[in-house]
Amino acid sequence: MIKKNADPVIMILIFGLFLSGGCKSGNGNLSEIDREPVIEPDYSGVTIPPNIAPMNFSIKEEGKSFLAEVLSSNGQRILIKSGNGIIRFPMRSWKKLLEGNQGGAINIHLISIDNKGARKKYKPVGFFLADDPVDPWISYRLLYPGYESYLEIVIRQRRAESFRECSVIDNHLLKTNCINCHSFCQNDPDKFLVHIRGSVGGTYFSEGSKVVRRDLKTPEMKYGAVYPAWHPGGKFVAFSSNSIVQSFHASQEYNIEVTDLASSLVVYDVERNIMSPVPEEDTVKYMETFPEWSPEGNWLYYCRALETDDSSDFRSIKYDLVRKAFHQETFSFGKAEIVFDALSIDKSVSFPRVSPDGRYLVFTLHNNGNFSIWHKEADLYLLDISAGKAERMSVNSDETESYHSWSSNGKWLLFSSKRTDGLTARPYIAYFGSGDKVGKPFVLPQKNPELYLRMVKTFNKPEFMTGRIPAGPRDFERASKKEAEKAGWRIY
Amino acid sequence: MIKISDQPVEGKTDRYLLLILVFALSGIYFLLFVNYIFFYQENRMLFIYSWEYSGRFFSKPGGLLEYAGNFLTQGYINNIYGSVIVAIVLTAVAAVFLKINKKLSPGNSFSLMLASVASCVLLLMHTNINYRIHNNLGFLITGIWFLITISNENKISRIIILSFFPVFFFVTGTYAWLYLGMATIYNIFRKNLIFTVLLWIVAAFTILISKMLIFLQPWTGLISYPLPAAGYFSRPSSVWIILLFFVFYPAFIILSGKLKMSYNRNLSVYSFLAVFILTTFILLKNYSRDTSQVFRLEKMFFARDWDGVINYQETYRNRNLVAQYYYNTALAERGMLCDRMFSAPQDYGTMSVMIPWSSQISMNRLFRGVYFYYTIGLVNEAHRWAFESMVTEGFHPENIKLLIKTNLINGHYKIAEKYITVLKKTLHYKRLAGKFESMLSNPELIRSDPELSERAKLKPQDNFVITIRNPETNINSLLQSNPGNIRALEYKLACLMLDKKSDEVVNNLSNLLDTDNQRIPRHIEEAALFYQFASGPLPDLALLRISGETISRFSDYIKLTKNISRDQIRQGSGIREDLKKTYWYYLDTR
Repeated sequence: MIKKNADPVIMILIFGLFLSGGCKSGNGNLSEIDREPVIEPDYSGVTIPPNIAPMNFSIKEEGKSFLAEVLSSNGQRILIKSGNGIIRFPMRSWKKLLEGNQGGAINIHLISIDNKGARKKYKPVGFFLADDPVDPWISYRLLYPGYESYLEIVIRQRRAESFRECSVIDNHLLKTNCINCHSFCQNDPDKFLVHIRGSVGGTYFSEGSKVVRRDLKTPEMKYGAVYPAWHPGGKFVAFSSNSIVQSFHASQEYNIEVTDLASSLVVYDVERNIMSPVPEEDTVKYMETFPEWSPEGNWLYYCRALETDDSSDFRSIKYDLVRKAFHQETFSFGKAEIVFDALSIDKSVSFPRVSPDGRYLVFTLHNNGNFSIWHKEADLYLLDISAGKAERMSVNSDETESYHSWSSNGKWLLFSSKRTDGLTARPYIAYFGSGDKVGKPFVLPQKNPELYLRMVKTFNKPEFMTGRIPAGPRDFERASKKEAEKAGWRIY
Repeated sequence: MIKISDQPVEGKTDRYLLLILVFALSGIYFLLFVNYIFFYQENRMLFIYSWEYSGRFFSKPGGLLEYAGNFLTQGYINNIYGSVIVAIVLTAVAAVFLKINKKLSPGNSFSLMLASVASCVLLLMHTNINYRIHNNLGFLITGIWFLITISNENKISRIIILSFFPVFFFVTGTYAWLYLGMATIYNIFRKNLIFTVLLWIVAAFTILISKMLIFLQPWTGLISYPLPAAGYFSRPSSVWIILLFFVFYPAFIILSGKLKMSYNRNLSVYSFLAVFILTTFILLKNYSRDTSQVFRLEKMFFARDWDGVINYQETYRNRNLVAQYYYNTALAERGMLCDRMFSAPQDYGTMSVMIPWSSQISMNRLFRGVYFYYTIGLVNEAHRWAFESMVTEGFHPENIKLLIKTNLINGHYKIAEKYITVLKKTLHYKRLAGKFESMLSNPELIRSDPELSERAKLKPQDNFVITIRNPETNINSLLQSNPGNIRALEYKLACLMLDKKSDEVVNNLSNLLDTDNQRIPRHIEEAALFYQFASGPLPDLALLRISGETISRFSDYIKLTKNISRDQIRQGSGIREDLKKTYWYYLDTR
């Protein structure tokens, strides 16, 4: 139940009445608790963008009813009363709290009242407001964090500034094929691709609301195109072409191991529908995966490990972070150079993502392999590219952190974390002021703050977008009914 | 014997007789013969009292019908309730079609017969374990809607019928097309083409708007949901034949009315009695004692009544793979696999001990394979099977129980809590959820729970990769990881015996010393004696000894079988019953 901020004076009076026991019968003792209340999600001390959706939460303290007095440094105040501990901010009031409050703070004073009318006042919970807005839309793949089977897979887009959410791709309309990861060209909702696996398989390219289906696997390629990275110019997409196997662990600490048996890099010319190999000069056979372009498009970063065979122990596969210079005019690559030598510290790198200003690169570091989402120890590391120095980020938890991406202004990091239960990934957002100024991350707010507690599905590969994807599930369905355009092959 | 008197018009008594017969036949047949269908269907879905669960059914036309069916299926937990539910729905179908008949062709001598055909074909369909109550509800609601259509044919009623068609489609899905067919046939006879054309226009707009604007469903979903999959039936065309019967039902009743103008009670009653006799004959003919036994075993198995499973299978000696698999698993749970497995048929070798993972087999059938992993202590793999089942089939009582148990055993309490929250929102499993919930706040209860604590002891001590297509390999890996896992060892030895590898059984005897077992299980003794007899001396068994009783039985077996032919042995003639329950007999007969 919400008493909104019509008149601050009246609100203060109501709050005062609440404190004095005026709202309830009984002795009405007020005790001050020398700690913050436990709230879910844990939003205490987080840094939020000035355009984020209401940070609804639920209070995990004993009490028959609760009262939240919300004060912002721009002088706004709202009062929210709750019978079930769930605090939902009215959209309009929330916006007023944020408006003109960049660089300020929001403090929430919480009071719980028990059956006898006794009240407890906790230390205030605070949010810090950053100056920089976050991209207004987020996309993610929603599916069960499963093993082999799948039935429902959707890619959804959600407005970061509100709770509006809709499907972009729904596999119900694609003969329940498997929807693989999606990839945007520089957070651009008008330019993205997604792989579909199954009877209507192919790589679907969406440009505006036009969707085309293509078959990127040419006879020259041993394996299909898998992990993509758009060249910033939008003309090329680098892919890794992988042979992937999945195995399951017997021990309770682990679930799944996804391993490459072989992989190499290819570059796809989107306009000409032509696939080309990234040349390998090395005599040693490597597996190359997870390509990522620098913002200028002159470097191709990727992860590289020594090639193995079927008998190799998956624990021995370690990927370094490597890059090659790319000359777009001549379509030629330089020699590979190691950017982060993970093997030397007995670790493995995956998912390199370069910041929009090209200064930083965030990667996932874990014990082995390249599929970190099933590695509990996987953490995000920040690499200062020019200094060549990598450090574990403060945003990590004891559970898996992975699948990170940058906002278009480079001020926000979106990543998936399994910190709530160790199984299901949730989209976390962290402020990135600079290398040494990273805010406490917060989970993407939901209208019902308890959603994450009961939801078994996982938020996979969350990505920021500068707008709404115009294409929808029916556009993909229509594209699926057309024959896939076969890609050609050319060696430069 | 029912006494029939000639009456000028069809009487209430006959209609009541028909309704009573439908109710009695369906109720009795479901209660006494195929009550396993209730158990099967109740265990393949979980009705959850939550908005999220209900919301899923709102996303597609026909979802509400399935939702209503699932709600009723909860009653299947009790055979009497289940039988009453099925009987009421089928009786209501008969009643509605009787009303339709009366409207379309009063005094028709075939009215009772056609109404009884309508309910009897649905009764026969319902005896398929995959045919669900919402399907019959669909026919019932369609019948009611059709009855409303023909009951009042003024302009306003027609407008209401037309404008409610989209709602009818939303509620019933495919059954709206059935209604469309019935209404079309009826209006052709009535020569009311304007209404028919309008109805088709509304229907076309309804499906187009549904497809293009409202529902994210493929065409097939909009056209055929929630009909049962044709593949569920031995004759896949059955569903379409039944649908066609109902589509042309108005034609049947109108045309049959024209055959004989005056009502003939004898014809009326005898024809519907003939339908019942024929239906009863088909029901009895289709009844499978074997299937009934398998599901009875499954019921005991799900209730963890191991002794019940063992005794039942030893008594009825069912040759079904699933029955034998449950028997072996129950024996393993009781620690008697290598003592007693040959007391019941073993027709499938190691297949009846473990079911290999296959993405080609429907999860509905494959799921049973989870119990091998759970019994042996490969908790992660058991969790995986339960999870795969949940992903493809949704929650059902067995997969959610296993998801909770495996997460509790593995100490993943937050994940367990999610599933417990779901289970708490059910009608019949609330109490069980409460028990699990108490474990979350007090893990000591997990350690003191006989089932969960035992699994925790059997778990691997270190990590290895599961071989999903060859479960036997996992037994060796588990034994290497946890040599004290007596259950894994018993499984290994059981597999070797089923594969008739007596030499390897003997080679693994020393592993018994790694476990707490201080005796050799009976069938292992039999394998050892056979090896000694056929191949040579046994290795040193340290403190383990073969019992005198087994030696004596072996001597008897040799004496008895020495002088009879192989065929006689296979037929079991002249072999003592206790000697048939031995590994030696298995070797001789398989």
